[in-house]
Amino acid sequence: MQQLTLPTEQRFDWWLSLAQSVQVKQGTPVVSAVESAEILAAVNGDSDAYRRIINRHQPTIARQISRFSRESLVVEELVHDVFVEAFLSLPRFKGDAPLEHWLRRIAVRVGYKYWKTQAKQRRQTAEILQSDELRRRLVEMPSEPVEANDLLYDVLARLSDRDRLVLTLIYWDDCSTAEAARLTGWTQSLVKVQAYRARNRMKKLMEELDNETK
Amino acid sequence: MKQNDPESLIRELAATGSHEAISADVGDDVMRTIASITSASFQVDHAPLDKTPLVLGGAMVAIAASVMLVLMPSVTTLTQPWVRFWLM
Repeated sequence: MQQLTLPTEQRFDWWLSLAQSVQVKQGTPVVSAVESAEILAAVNGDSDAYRRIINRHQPTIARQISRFSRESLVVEELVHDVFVEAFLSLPRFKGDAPLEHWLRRIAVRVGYKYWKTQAKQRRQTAEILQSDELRRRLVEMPSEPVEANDLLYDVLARLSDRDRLVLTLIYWDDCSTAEAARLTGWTQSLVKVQAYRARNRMKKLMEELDNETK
Repeated sequence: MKQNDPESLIRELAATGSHEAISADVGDDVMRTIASITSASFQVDHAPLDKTPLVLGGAMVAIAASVMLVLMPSVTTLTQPWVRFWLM
């Protein structure tokens, strides 16, 4: 291939011109020309291009992953896994949705898989996290962002993985039903049904906590 | 405590938590992992399966089968009394 013999910076310009010409033919682009060029360059072995993609999207992915673990080391490890998995799947990126959405979908899958592997450990933690402790924290209602997120994480951890995922996406991440469906790979009706059931189960859980107080 | 309204409880906690600064710097680690994966896959590419013995073996079996087919006496011939000398 002729472009592979060019210096790195010229090679990126070549990909950029290619992406721009394709976008002119296709009309309104979903992915910007620069990002398309970076994807093409990364797929063809330009590590600098992929590093730029990582730098641009890692705050969003870290925020998404922080819903799945509150330990900073685990968050870093999962974000790393997301970008490695994304790199390996990059040749299959169709460009029919923004790259950020595609990366978030991978992040949700990686995070959900992490919950599954941690299920046993989480049950033990839930037993350790006594109702008294949880109730006390709920009554106080933290004002600090980190404490609020920790508490929300602990409350949702008492639900099943599916309930937890749907409530996390819809209420914590403020996703619409369509967005939640896209991120989970579920149908929109399944998301609605799951959210309805999850809300009821959480309500029941709260009532149980309330009854224990009385 | 908003026990009866989990929706507003989550929303309130999420609104407070939305100001949390979350950061991760995984660029170097990711590039190292990708480099190791890529170099491993190159090693596999450099040692493709040598098909020569398979081709040669297959050709020899095909030739032997053809020779046998050509030299095989017909059923009528096999019933001839002199064929025992030919088979010997």
